[in-house]
Amino acid sequence: MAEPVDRDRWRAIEDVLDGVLDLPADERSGYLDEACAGDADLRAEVESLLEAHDEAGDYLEVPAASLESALAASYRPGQHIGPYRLVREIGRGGLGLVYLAVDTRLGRQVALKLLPSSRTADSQARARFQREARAASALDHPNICTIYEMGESDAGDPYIAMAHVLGESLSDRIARGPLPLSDAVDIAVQTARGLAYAHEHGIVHRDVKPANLIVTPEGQVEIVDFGLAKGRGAPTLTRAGVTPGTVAYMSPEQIRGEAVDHRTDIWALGVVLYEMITGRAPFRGEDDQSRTYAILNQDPEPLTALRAGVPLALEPVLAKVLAKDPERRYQHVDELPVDLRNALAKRTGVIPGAAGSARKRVGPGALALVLAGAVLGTVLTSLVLGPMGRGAEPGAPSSIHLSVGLPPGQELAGSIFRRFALSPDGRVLVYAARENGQQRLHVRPLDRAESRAIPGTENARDPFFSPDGRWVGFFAEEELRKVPLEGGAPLKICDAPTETSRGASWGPDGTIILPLGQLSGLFRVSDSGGIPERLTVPGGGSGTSGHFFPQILPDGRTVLFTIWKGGAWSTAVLQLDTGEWEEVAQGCAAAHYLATGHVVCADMGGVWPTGTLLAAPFDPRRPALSGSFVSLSGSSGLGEFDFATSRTGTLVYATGGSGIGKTAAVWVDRAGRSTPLEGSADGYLTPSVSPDGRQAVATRIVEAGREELWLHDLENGTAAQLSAASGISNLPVWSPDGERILFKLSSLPSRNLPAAARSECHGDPAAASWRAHPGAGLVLRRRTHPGLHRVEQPDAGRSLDPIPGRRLRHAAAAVTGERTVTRILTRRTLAGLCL
Amino acid sequence: MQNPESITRLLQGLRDGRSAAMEGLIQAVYEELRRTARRELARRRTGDTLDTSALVHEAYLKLAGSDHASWNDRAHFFAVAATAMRQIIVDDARRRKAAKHGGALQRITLDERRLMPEEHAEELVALDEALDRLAELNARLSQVVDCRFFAGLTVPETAEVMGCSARTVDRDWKKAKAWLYRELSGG
Repeated sequence: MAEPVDRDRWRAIEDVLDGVLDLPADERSGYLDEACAGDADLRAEVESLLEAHDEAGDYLEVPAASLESALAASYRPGQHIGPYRLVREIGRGGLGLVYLAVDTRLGRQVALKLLPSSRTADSQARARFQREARAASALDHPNICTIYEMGESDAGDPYIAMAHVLGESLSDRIARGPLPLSDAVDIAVQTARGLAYAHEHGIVHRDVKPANLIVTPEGQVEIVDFGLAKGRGAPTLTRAGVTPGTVAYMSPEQIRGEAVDHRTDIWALGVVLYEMITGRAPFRGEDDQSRTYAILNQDPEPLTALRAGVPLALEPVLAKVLAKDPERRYQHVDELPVDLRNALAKRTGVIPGAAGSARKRVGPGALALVLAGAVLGTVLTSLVLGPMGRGAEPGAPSSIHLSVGLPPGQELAGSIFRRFALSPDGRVLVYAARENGQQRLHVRPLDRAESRAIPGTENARDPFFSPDGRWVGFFAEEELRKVPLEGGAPLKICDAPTETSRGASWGPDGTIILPLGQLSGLFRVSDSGGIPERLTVPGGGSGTSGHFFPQILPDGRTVLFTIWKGGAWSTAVLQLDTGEWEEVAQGCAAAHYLATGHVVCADMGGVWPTGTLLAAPFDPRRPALSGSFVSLSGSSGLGEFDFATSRTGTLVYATGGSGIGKTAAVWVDRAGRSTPLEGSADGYLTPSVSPDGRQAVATRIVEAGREELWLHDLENGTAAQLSAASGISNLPVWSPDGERILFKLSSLPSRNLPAAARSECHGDPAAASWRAHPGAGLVLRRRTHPGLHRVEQPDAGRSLDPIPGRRLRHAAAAVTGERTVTRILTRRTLAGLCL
Repeated sequence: MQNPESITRLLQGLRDGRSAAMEGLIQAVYEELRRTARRELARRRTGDTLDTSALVHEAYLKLAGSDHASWNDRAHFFAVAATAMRQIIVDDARRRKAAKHGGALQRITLDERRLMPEEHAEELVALDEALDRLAELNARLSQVVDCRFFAGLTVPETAEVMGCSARTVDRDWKKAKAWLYRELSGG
């Protein structure tokens, strides 16, 4: 790794730092304006160091090697600390020393925890410590070790007196080997209860780990050290208060140094549970760096691959506890006991043959359903399928095509599927569309030319019909609602997150089935309202997964739905009577069953639809495909995939729906007129013009999962593919000198390509990869593959030159000048541009 | 085997500008600190770690205290001792790292076992490397870290050792910490 600055530059940086370090925060900016006038690099560097300084806190403040001994040297058995007499040392850890002590006032034995004063050296930290300890002392729960009081020794070391629990720490217990399954689940359940209680009271533990869980001889779990951990991210070196080695239990957000909430405890509990069951850590590595990488990027080996007799049903529960994105984790720890107990009760689950051959895989990351790009005009095409006997080839059904254009100014709204619905009789279309910035449902009888907005459906999405065709259900304002088609006020059915809605279906008996949350399972709720009841838990192995786009089949007992798992789509059938489901087709999504005896679904290439609709004969009684898929609509490249069906066999699909592949690179002048970039085609994204204005580089989406970099000579209008790099290359940016282009490269297995590449930029803002650097090029941060890649422009297409980086954690960079790569590591600077 | 007399001679040589003396001096102090550390650890209960500051002071008393070393010599000594202490701690960390990860199986003698908490090994080695890079930018910043963090000296003590004001030490310490924190920060 090149040094970011040379001595002279560093001297300049130090000079500014010297001036600014002692200033109060609100005066710093003004000082920097003056001191760094005209030198954005200098300012960025100083700001980055200032931020590091502010975050560093007591980093390195406790001298090497003296951290524990200094404290130990101060205290001896027999000594009095406040009202307590020390009996003997019973433990020590990152937080300090624990003595068995006697409260001389009550004659009661307590565990007295002494914390080094250096840890709470500044008054702010001290105040925070006291506040948190006091809050924790108010907790009264059988699974939380009671805190009696806190105080300060004569030497100024804070202490905490707590119940002296007789028992064994879970870490000692695990050291003897994996626990019986029922014990492991029981301990996890008890811990979850204690945590749930604390979370309800607004207290996050932040350092849940086996060493902080004491199991009494009666099997009671006591959580200790509540609210004491500072939960800081790396580096941990001799930072009192963070036990070295706890990186193993840190959540991804904790590692990234982001704000931490109760979901971090949920993650840690998942790590503990995994360890109890398998006897080993889920995220392993030779050192903290590789463990950190594993936590951020890898899925643990399935439990079932490591231990026989583990119910398969435990996998999805654990996968959800250990979801990298806290939004996809269990949101409340009290949801866990039920799921754990249920999973254990289902010990009959079949262990897949693949057990034991589990492989590491890069997490698929966010499912990017938010589509970018202008919609160039949406046309709904209605295709009426003629009668097709079951088992017959559906390749040449008698069909009528008719196009129904949306009224000018309207564009479909929602996610990729289920933006419109057909009434069961196939006569009425309801669609969610945006018009003048207002998103509503519109109704359009197919035999008429006009549509009307349905009142009371502001911000509605994912419409679906009642079996009698008189009501329309939809998601809006964080609720599932229904509205009479003929007019009337919408009614709430249940709470449901709107942003992540993925279709719903209304069965003949008045049951509505819907997915709740982005990567949750399917739920059932009565159309008259109530609390949704869970039907499925996505998973059954490692990897992010979700269940979407349900369709209740005419029998009312079978549900066709879509599984998103590990970057791939499939279609599955759920039996409501047994709660069991199985996959019936791979690589297709949003399946509809038609009364003609067919299943129609969207062909998926990786994450994105290929634009082809597929149909295959389907036997709802087995239920399984009874023939192979044929293409129903001609493939038109990207963007044609959303569709709806009626019970009678009418199929409506949208063309030009997504805008993928429809974005073009254009010049826009100051008057707002645009002209296409010469030599470019559709599917252009993220163009970047060279500093001298002579060339431009842009990402070209060739097809789903394939993105290339193209270099355009703006003077003579020629273009050439820039990089021969395999995999997805995108987000190019020029160095200030115009000599280099930095870009993002993914070379993952093809199936995961789109997911992995997009997840870095869509969805999780913490994983934001790119940011414009003031006065420079761009910050590149890559999680999936270490290191940076650089293309020397004169050797365009040939030289793929990894920029040497000593370690992964250095994988953030900005082009700042000749052969200089500067690391920008702080949160604030990384949170930026993410298109 | 060094004795106080030869240390004083080495310090004398250092002051005279014979920089070749530095290496020998560090080696001598290194050996003495290690001896002191072993003896200290043997005396203490198992599980205790060392107070480096006490260690350095004690080594100084033994090596130089009996002599009429000038104030300047004392400062030199501590500066050297701080560097030596860093070497001891980082060497120890490297050895631990190698042992832990199944590298060459090295025997670690019992009395050295608890010189540093084992879990810090990785970060100490990384810190050591980072400090070398920092020294290229400004050697003083790196030395302040040697004194403050590795030798456990206070700010006034460090100021004496380095022959500058406490305020300068304080500033350098802040800058060094910020730089190292950023350098070694995972996120």
